[in-house]
Amino acid sequence: MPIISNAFFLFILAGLLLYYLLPRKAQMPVLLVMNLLFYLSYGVRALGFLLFSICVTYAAGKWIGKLQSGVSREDRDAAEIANRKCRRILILAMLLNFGVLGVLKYTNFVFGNLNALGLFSLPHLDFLLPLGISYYTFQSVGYLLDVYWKRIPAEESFLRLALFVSFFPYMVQGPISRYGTLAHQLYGPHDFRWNHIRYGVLRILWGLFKKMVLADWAAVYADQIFARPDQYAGIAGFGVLLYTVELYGNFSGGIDIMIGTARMFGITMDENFKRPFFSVSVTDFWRRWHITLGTWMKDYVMYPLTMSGAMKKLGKKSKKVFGKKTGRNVPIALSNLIVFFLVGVWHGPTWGNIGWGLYNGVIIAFSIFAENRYRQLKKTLHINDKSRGWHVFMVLRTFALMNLSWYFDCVDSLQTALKMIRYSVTQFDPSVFLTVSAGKQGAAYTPVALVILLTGCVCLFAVSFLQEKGVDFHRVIARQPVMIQVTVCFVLLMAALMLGPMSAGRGFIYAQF
Amino acid sequence: MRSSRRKLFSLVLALCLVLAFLILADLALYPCTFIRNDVHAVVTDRKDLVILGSSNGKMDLDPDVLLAGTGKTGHNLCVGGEYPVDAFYLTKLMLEKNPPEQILFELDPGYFMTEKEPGNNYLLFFHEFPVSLAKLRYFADTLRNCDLRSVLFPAYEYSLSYELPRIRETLRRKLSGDYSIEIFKGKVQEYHENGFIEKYPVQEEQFPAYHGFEFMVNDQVRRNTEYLEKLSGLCGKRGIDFRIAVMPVPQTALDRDPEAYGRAWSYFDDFCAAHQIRLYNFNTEYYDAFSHEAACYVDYDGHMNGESAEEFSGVFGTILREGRG
Repeated sequence: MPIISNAFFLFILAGLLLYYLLPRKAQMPVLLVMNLLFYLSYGVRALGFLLFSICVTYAAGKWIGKLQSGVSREDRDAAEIANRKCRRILILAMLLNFGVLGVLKYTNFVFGNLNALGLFSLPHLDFLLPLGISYYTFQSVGYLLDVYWKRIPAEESFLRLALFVSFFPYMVQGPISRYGTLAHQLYGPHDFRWNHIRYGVLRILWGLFKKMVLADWAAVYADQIFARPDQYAGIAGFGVLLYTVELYGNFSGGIDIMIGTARMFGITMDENFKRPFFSVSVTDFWRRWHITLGTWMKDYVMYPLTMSGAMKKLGKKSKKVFGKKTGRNVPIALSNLIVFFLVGVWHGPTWGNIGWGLYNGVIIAFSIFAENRYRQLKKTLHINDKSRGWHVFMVLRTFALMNLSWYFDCVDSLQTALKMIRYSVTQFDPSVFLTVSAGKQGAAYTPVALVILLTGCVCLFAVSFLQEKGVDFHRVIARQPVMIQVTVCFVLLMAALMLGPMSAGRGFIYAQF
Repeated sequence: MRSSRRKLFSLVLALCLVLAFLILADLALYPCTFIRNDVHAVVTDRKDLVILGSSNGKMDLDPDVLLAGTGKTGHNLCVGGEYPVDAFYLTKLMLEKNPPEQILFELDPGYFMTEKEPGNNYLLFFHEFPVSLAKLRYFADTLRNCDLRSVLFPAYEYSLSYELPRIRETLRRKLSGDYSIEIFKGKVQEYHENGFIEKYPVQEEQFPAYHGFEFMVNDQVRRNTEYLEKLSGLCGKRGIDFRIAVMPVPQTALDRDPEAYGRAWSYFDDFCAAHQIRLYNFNTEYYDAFSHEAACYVDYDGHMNGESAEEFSGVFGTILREGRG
C-alpha cells in the first residue's frame, strides 16, 4: 500500500471513521487492526518478522521489569544479581532483534566482501527485507534500553506493546519514536477535534506537494544528469542540487504525510526535520535532518559509549599524550566516528554509505578538535560571528559540505562521483538543461518543468525561512476563516495533482531501510 | 455545538466544491480517446465477436471483413498496452452489460515478459468504464495502488498545453455524447467505427529499427499468464467461445530471433492445449496462410498496413468460417 496511493487514502478515511464513530474503548483495537492490515498489504511473510520482534521485545521487557521490581535497593547483593540478569536478558533481546536485521540486510554485503577477498565463494541469498525492519528494530531496542535504564516501566500488556512497535505511520520511513512520548498517546482515548483534522490535512497536502511536485520533478532531471555525466557535464553542479531537492522533498514529504496522518488520529509524532538547509555546521545539520535517528544514536549509542569505562580510560591516556584540552576531546571524537559509521551502515549495506557516514563523522570530529583554533582565527581576522554575513557564510558552507557528500550517494562508482565533482567545478553551461528530457513530456516541456521546480523551491524556501523566523503556519492558517483554510488546502491539492511529472509516482527513497 | 455544526457544514460544502471542480477538470481536460468509442460500442450494443489484445490485433484485424458474409457483428477492442488483466476486466464489463458470443484474444508473447506500468495504461480503460461492478473490481485489482492522481485528476497523464486549446471541443463531445470518429484520423493512420485502425503503408527503409525479441519461459511475469487463464476460465463459465490468435510476424524478425520465437510458440501451444483453447498461430500452423514479406507491414513488430490487414482479416475469417480451426 504505497503511501500516496488511492488505497492508502481510502484506508485512512475508513480508519478515521471507525476510530471516531465507534466507542472510545474501541480506538486501540481499531489502530491495532489498521497496523495489521497496513503491514499485511506488503505481504504475509514479513509479518512473521514483525511478530518475532514484538514477542522478543515484550518478553524481555517484562522479564527485566519483573527482576528490577523484585529486589529492594537495600539488598545490594540481590540487586547486583538482578542487574546482571537484566543485562544478560537485554543483550540477548538486542542480539535477537539486531540479529534478524543484520542477517536479512547485511549478509549479502558481508558475503560479497568475503568473496572479493578471494577466500570464499559464498552465494548471493535472496532474503526478504520486511517493510520498516530498521525502524521497528530501533524502536524496540530503544524501548528495551529505556526499561533497562528504568526510564520507563515495562509494558504489561502484549497488545499495547504490539501497537507501539507496529504503529503504521512510522513503518514506511520513520520517524523512529520513543515509548515515553508515543505510547501513552496510542493507548489514551481521543476525542474528535477539528484542529487535529485541519493540521493533519494541511500537513499531508504539504507533504504531497513536496513529494509529487518537487521531489519527483527533481528526480526526473537528477537521474538523467547522473546517468550520463559526460553528456550533461555543463550542468553537473545542478545535478547534485536537484538530488538535494529530490532527497529532501521525498523524505520530508513522506514524513509530513505520516505525521499528518497520525495527527488526524490525535497522535503527535516526533518531528524528523527542522529546516536542515539552514544549518550552520554539520553537527547542526544532524540536529535538523533525520532528527529521530540522530537522537536515537545520541541517546542509545553515543552517550553510553562516551561514558563507558574504555572511553574514560582512553580519555585519561589522551590527556597525558595530547594535553588536557585536546585529550579531553579524543573519546568524544572517536564516539562520533563510531556513531556515524553506524549511521552509514544503517543507510544500507554498501561501502558508499559507510564512506558517507564516515565523511560526516570525520568532519564533526575535526571540528571538535579545531574548535579552539577556529575561535582564535576568527578573533585574529576580526570576524563577528554574530553578524548576518557570517551566518549566511556558515549556512552556505554547510550546504556545500552536505552536497559534496551526495555526489557519492547518487552514482555507483567513486570515479563517476569524482568526475561529476570535476565537471561541476570546470564546466558550466545551463543551456544544456534544455536538452534534458522532462520524462514523458519530452525536452520541449523542460522550460515549463524548470519553472515549476524553481517556483516550488522558492515557495519551500520562503516557508522554511519564515518558520526559521518563528512563524507557525498552521496557527496562522487556523486563525483564518474556513473558506480561506479550504482555499489553501485546495491550492496545495491542485498543485500536487496538476504540477507533477506525467510518469507514475515514484516510491519513497527511505522506504526500504 | 452550533460552531461545530457550522464547521461541519462548511467542510461538507468545501468538499462538494472541490469535488465539483475535479469533475469539471476531468470533463474538460481528459481527452476523448478512441478507447472511449470502443468501450461505448461494446457496452451499448451487443456484438457477436469482440477482439481483445494488443496493438497488433488493433491494426491487423478488421472485424467487418473477418465476419463478412456471416451476418454477425464485431468490434475490435484491442489497443497497445492492453494486458490480459485489462482484457479480463473488459470482458467482465461486457458480461455485465452486453455479453458477446465469441471472444478472440490476439496474443503478443512480448506482453508476457513485461510488467504492466501503473498509471495511464490502466486509466486508459478504467476512465471509460461506465459505473459497474466490473469497474469497482478493476479498481480494486489495479488502480488501488496507483497514486491518487489516477482517481482525483486522471488528466495528469496528458499534456495541458495540448488539451487546453481543445477544452471546448472535448466538453462538447462529452456533454452531447458525440462519438464521431473524424478526430481520430491522423497522418499515419485512420480509426474505423468497428475499432479497427488502418495504418497507411510505410516503405521498409522507413521502418523503425528492430529492437529484438526476447522470450524466456522462466522470466515470464506470472500475473499476465494468470489473467489469461482467468479470462479463458471466465469465458468458459459464461458459455462464450474463447479463442486465441497470434498475428503473423515479418520474416526478418522471425529470422533474427528464431530461438526466442520458437520458445514462445512452443510455450503458448502447450498453454492452449492444457486449457483446451483453440490457438491460431500464423507463424507456425498457419504460416503459409499469409505473407511474411515486409511489404505487408509498417514495422518489424508485425503491425500491418491497412490493405494487408483487410486481406489478412479476410483469410482469417475464411479459416474461422470453414472450421479449419
